[in-house]
Amino acid sequence: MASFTGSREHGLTHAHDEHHDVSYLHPKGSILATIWDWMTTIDHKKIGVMYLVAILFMFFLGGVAALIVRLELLSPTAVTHAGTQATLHGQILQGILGEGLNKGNEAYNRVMTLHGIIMVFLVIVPSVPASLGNFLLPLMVGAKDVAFPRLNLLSWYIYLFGSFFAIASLIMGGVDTGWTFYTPYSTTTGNEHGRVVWMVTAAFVLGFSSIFTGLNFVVTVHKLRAPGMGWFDMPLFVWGIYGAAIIQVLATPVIGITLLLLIFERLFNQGIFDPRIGGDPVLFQHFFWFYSHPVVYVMILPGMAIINELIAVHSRKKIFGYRAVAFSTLAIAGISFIVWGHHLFTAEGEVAAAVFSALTFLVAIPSAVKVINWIATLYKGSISLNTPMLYALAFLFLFSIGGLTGIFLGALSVDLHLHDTYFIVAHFHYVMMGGTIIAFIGGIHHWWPKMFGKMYNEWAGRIGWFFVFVGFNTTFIPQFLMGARGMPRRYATYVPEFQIYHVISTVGSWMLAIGFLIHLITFMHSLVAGKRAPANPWGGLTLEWTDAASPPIEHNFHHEPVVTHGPYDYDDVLPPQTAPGEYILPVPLPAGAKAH
Amino acid sequence: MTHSLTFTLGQQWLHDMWFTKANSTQAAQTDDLFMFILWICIFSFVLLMGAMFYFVARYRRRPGVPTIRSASHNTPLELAWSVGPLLILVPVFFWGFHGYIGKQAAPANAELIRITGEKWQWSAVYSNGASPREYVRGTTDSEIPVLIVPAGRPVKLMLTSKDVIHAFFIPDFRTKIDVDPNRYTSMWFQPLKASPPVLGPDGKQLKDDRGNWLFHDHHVFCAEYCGDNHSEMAAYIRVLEASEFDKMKEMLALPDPNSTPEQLGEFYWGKKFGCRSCHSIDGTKGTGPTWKDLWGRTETFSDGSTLTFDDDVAFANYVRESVLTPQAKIVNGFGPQMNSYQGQIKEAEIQAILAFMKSAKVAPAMAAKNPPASAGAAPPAGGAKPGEKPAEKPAAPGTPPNRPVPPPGGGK
Repeated sequence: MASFTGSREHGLTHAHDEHHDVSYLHPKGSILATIWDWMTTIDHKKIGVMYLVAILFMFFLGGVAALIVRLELLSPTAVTHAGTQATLHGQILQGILGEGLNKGNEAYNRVMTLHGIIMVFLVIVPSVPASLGNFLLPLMVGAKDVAFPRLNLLSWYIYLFGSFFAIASLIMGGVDTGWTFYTPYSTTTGNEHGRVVWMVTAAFVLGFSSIFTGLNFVVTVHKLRAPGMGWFDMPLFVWGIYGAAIIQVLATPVIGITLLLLIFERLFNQGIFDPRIGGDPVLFQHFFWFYSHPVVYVMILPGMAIINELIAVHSRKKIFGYRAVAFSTLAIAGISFIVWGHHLFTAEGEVAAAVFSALTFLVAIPSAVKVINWIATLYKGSISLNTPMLYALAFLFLFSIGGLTGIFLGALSVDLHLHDTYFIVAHFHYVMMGGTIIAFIGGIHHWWPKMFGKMYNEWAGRIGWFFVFVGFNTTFIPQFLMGARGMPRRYATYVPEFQIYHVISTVGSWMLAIGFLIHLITFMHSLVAGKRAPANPWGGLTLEWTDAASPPIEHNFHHEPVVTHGPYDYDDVLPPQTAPGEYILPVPLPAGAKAH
Repeated sequence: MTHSLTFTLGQQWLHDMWFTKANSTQAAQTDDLFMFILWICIFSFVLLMGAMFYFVARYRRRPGVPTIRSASHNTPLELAWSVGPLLILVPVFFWGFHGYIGKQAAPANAELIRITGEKWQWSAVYSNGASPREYVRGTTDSEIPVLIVPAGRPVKLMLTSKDVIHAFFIPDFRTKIDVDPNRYTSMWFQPLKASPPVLGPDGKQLKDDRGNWLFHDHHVFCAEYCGDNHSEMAAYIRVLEASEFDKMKEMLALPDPNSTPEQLGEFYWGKKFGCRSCHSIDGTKGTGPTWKDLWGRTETFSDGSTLTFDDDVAFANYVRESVLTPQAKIVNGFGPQMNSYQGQIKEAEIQAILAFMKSAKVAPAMAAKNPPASAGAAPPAGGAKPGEKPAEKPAAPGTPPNRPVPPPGGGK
């Protein structure tokens, strides 16, 4: 690894320089000083790691809420008869949710809303961009940091501030509006007046965090690429994050304005969405989905971005049709703005429905192109079935189901039947969880050695993957079936004929929980007792592997990296028989030169 | 019913795995399109995953096996798999749009039923002003109204909401529509067959614990989240033979023969004579004086005379006069708006209205209409009148569309 340790001329003589030469994780003196250093850091890596910890914590909270929801649905009337049934889960639920039908239903609705709000606003939207994106984007383009490091720190604190509002609303008892805040329910619901305003404020504040992060990434990609890195020499991870960042910057203000109007209506009785004071409730749905549909792609594009890297590195292949994949990212970002109406097929007129149905089919194409290209990449590759690659394959499996089931929902007459049923629930979980979260977990495994300088236990990772993959399908496949058979979503109780599907689904949720628990233990074990990670354990060719240590030094690189080859040019750069982790890295050519 | 096309597109068992038995003319179109898309999905998924698993197995990294160079780009191939899926989706779009229009545009002769949603119940009014009278107890002790519709005849629903957005979802008819508070929406369907009776082991039709005949009814769910008891907001649709439907609809327009005089009076006030459009029973000022707390009140008339309603005979004579010759006495502050009911109203009906007017002091119907919280606070046995206790008898005939709310938790 001569290239990493060879920069002695940078001088170990100066204490100051030494300070910049060590790992970014190196503590700064006393514990208090270290904590202060992390709190005030403008280092994108530290901010990324802090985001990662916060997001995983929120993922845990949202996951617990999901387990409660699934437990409640184990029997058709668990809450109502919790006391009389005297089953174990009935007693547990009685403890968590309270007794009696009204109370139980209300508590269920709060937990269901909590799951949605946390998972969407606090986990999936920021998940990949804010954590892995923050950590990796500057490294991948060969920059010392993002374009606006202080803005980056600000967006972290705004995220914390927004989370604070959400948690505060939660501690006060939570809200029962569903994560979509549909009016007039959200503007009229009971005496939770204050809490709804707090929760909406949380979503509003979090939006700013999202905008700042997106803005930072767009500028970073435009201005801070290393010498030699043209647009089409960027890793596809960067493309994906870039596409998502554009949507974040353009779409998030709309939800900000919408939520602000909602707060106005609640606090000052301005008739905007509430028909009793002259508003139109469907207007809210248009506003909401004008943001929230593009944001579906803010959620999935970074997931796709990760998959590019996992597949390329672990099958040692150039991504098939690099340009098609890159352009489909931009196509998705563009078309995503004009398909919001497909959330309103049961609420809008015939012409609008026809237009949005057609556009919806159009947006399916770039996603299909990506999936097919990734599978084509595997052809004649050298495929290593480690945990990150298993997650990439799981992504292809699950996201394909998620994408294909979208066709049912785009077809108008079928959607009239499936709208607002568990079919939708299953569909978007296959896309959001089977897509983004699966990619995220795979990405964490993939870059774990880079971020923390430690290897994780590969077999433990694979076992965890198995539970997650099998558990996920067990949870959500029955939901497709019961949805098509008429089970509506957001139901605390249901008619008995759906019970068998709910039971299977709940058992699946337990398997998922076991899988994630195994991962958690694996990561903890790695931090404490993991083997030291080499700089490039998987043999990647992007800058974070080839030019940065594991973990990277504070300023990322000793020298400004020079890009001499494409991100996936394995055939040109590496001899075919090198074992991963032992790659002999190419000697950097003089600045500006390119190998291809 | 037979789905010939569905059977061609997929095995019947595959269809039955995904769907309940349909019972409307438009459902087959939806099922057929669903099965068509399902086959597209199965084909694409098997193709993609087959390739993926084959590549993973075939090109697994093995020590000592050198990697193979291969192309990383092929324009014709990439164009093919970009345009190919688009070509498959075009017919899906048109097929879906065609079916959607079929579910939107109702025939002109459709039987109109007005549906109102409110937290957390559905109510219906047939074209003759009648409302469903039968309720079924749901899994969580909720009271679920049974809506009757005719087989083989188009039915158009006109829907609106009193509070938040709901959605009327009939899985067996494969359609739903949002129900908004500030506008009317509509949906239509044409049921195919009458709902069969539920038969016992001896082949005879079963009854529920209230003595109502049991049928295999169709579920109606609220599909747009509307708060606490969203999952309790249900209805049943019972398809009757068209002739039987017409009979039943007429019967529902008549008062229940077991009613008390007050209930009959409420029925005449609310439905038959429409007194309620001018005379409220909750104190709201209408075109005419409110009937709230009428008994015991002293009214001043436009000619300066006064009358205190504390004597049955004087009260009856005054009301009789006002119904038959409304202009004789006008209560101060109101105009001569009322028309004579001479020749339209029977003596027994006046008697019933009198009983109801006297009872409007306690306004029993309004008490039942109150939100669940206050209804639940009242003692379940003593607070409600016999006719309004769903456990003993179906809802009172004159009960407004809002059915009485059962005590939460079944009185536990």
